[in-house]
Amino acid sequence: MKIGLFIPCYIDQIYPQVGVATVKILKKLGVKFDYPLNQTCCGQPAFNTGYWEEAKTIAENFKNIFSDFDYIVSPSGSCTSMVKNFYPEILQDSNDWENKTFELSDFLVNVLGVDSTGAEFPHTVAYHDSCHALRELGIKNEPRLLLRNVKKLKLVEIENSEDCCGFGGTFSVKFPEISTEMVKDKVKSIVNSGAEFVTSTDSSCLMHIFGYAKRKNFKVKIIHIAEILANF
Amino acid sequence: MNYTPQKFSINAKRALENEKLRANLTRAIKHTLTKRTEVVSELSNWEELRQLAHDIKKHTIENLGYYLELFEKRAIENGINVLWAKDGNEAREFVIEIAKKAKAKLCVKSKSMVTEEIGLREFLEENGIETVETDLGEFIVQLANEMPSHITAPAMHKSRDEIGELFAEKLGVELTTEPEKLTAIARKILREKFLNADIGISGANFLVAETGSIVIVENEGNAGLTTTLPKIHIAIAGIEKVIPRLVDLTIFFKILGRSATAQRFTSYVSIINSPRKNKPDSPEEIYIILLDNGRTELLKSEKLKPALYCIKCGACMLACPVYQRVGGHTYGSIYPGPIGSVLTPTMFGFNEAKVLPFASSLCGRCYEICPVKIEIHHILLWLRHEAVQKNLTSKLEKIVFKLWTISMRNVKLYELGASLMRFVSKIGLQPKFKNWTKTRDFPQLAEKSFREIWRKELKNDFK
Amino acid sequence: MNSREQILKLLKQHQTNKTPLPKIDTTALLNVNLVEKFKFEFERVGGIFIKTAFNRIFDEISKIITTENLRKIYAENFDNEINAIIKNLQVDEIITQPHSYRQISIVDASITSCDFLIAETGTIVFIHRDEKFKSAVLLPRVHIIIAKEKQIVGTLEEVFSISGGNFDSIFLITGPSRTADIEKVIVQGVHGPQKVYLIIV
Ligand code: SF4
Repeated sequence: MKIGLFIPCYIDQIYPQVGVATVKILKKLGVKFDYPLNQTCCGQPAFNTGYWEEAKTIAENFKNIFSDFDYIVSPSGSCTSMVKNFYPEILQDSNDWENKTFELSDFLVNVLGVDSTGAEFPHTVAYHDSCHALRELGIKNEPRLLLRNVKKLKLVEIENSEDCCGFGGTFSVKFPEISTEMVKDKVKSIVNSGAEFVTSTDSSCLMHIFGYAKRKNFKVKIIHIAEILANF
Repeated sequence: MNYTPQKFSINAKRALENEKLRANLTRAIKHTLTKRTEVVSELSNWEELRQLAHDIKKHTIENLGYYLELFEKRAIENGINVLWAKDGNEAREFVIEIAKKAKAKLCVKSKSMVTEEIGLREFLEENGIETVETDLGEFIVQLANEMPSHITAPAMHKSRDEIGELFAEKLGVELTTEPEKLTAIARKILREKFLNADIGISGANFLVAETGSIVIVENEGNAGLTTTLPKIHIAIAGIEKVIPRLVDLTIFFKILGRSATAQRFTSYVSIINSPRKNKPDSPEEIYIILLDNGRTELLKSEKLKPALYCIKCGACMLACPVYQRVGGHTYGSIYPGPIGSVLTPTMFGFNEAKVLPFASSLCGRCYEICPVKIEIHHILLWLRHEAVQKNLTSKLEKIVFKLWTISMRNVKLYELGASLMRFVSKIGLQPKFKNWTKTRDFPQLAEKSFREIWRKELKNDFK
Repeated sequence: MNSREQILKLLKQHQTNKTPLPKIDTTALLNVNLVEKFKFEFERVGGIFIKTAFNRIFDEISKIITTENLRKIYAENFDNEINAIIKNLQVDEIITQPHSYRQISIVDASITSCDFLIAETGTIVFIHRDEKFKSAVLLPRVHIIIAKEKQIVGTLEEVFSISGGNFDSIFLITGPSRTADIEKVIVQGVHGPQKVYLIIV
């Protein structure tokens, strides 16, 4: 069983600790995997903005790198969804992208059958459902299960946890006012939840949430779910 | 205010700053969504019903020609006149011709999106035929000379105070803000219109092919009166409204009421098969106008076809985080919200409405709530792609994505680009993209990228 | 080529016939007391349910006349027994043979029969095949329906399977006329009745 680790470009460059945490978790669980060094991006930014030709070019690149793996695992619901749901459409190739691509928590729970990583995190944590993990991949219980089994962690639900944070890729810069109104409400409900940390499967949502919270001086700390799960 | 799709961004900004509007929207939407969750969750087979409704629609749209002909045949057998209109112009001409022949002076209208679509009321009024909206919400927006802001709750954007003032001003009645009193005022005025109307104009929620029936769903009783009292009834329906069997209605009634108004069952349903000649009431002539007006365009594309499954319940609008905050008028189309952003560019002109498919964070709430399971968010993605193909996006954006593609295609360039950005930000030249940074901080690139850490620290552990 | 042919031609070109028309399983209401279920649903949508013996009809309608302050009534033509009961009601005027719906529009209440009652949704079904005034169920402020218990069926499917396509029109009424167009406040009696009474014998 060949497992390939896909660390999306923005995690690679902005949140490398998420990648490190992912590696740490897989290692602890004794999972053998490979991290192909010539990987870059899944092509989603172009795809979601309508540039399907460009996205296809990137997808071809991804395909050359990841075709040989039986599983592709990534600590991002959004990029996983791009590969899993949209590669079949833009590439029209023989790869079974749909069945071999997994978001990290999904992979841990549903492929490895793990429900705890043995981590400890003595904090109150709120889980934010990223739209892509929740509605494109149907991931809802997996991260919550893993978090509940983190020692000393208190998991709280935020009101309207399933509402979008307003990021939406280029949406956030094409319609900054609407996007900001959305993240404003999201930050409000996080603050109201009393959580010290907000976590998610997606660093992109967290980046957006933090960007607004910091500007407005809200004490909201963000942490990717992999970082919590790797805290052992 | 000028509401066109081109002005979406400007109108959105204005709407966001309009606190009164925001409060009205939030109240109405919260109320309906909460109630909806209640009446949906009590059904154990909601997902099956959605799938069933989806499959019935899918089957029908795939065989639309067959079912329309069957409907036509049965309707004619029942004594209904069937007319086909390729566009709004033709439909309007049909109506005016009937009206002129009948020397009609007064038309009563029940709620219908297609008539809004083709500007029928305005057209009849221009031709000297008084035309009155009889649905309370539509009556309010007609008085205010506005467009409906939602397809099933047209006056959702207004508060009782605003409506009270409007009534006092336009109808010369004493100022009241009580919904009961306002409703009573409207009832009295409209009752007179009903009793004297020459023609009743309605839409249709469904057309049943096997029986030739016109089906109208409503709550107030105005559609019942519209289709019963006047001697002539003209129904106008988009060609996608046909369904195969009477029994299919049992599925659609279950999902439509719950999705549109959070009701288990709507108060009134009229299933009309034939005119009743020489009967005490009921029209002696019934016309059904089957309207294309861009619908066959959608049918030509496998990607867009599913938009024709839409039963115009309006749920996707209420569930949409963008619509929730900017309201229906902002979209500048009678079909606002997620499905509107699909229908407006594809039916009424892509160029004018090219911004709409982008006005979504693609969160998927619309699909999640849609009772006929239309993957609206994925259709929006497709339309973005069409916008690019039609060369409707900005030059700058195109260049950005070209360059981006070049650097992402080649890992060397990608790494070079990243180090360049690190260098630039180190010497304090971090580029500011205002649209983000005006309201939000943007993170710095990490000191070391993951791949660097991997190469230097992690990799060896795995060899 | 006219519009009809144009549209049909295009549709035929794009006919695919990939998806079969799904079968709809008839969902009978099993293990449910139909009267109880109907009553529950009907009252939930704001209807007023009165179950009574035949010889109490007069009293029940008289009570409604008092509470609703009804002066003028339109009554449909029932069988002789019920016609006789209606004739004796204490009101200013009872219209039984209107020549136009205008006359019905000025009464306070109408008394009509119905064809079916649907337990699943609390719906009253009117199937029009005859000379009856259709608008009698909509125009007055109060609508009183006299029905028999055996008219209750489980679901709308059952109504359709009995009626087939043979009718001028079907009208389904589920509670009073209502709107929520002003601030989502529910107001009854917009264009149709404010009160719907069902007397079941
Ligand atoms: S797209 Fe779906 S949710 Fe939106 S109006 Fe149509 S049927 Fe309703």
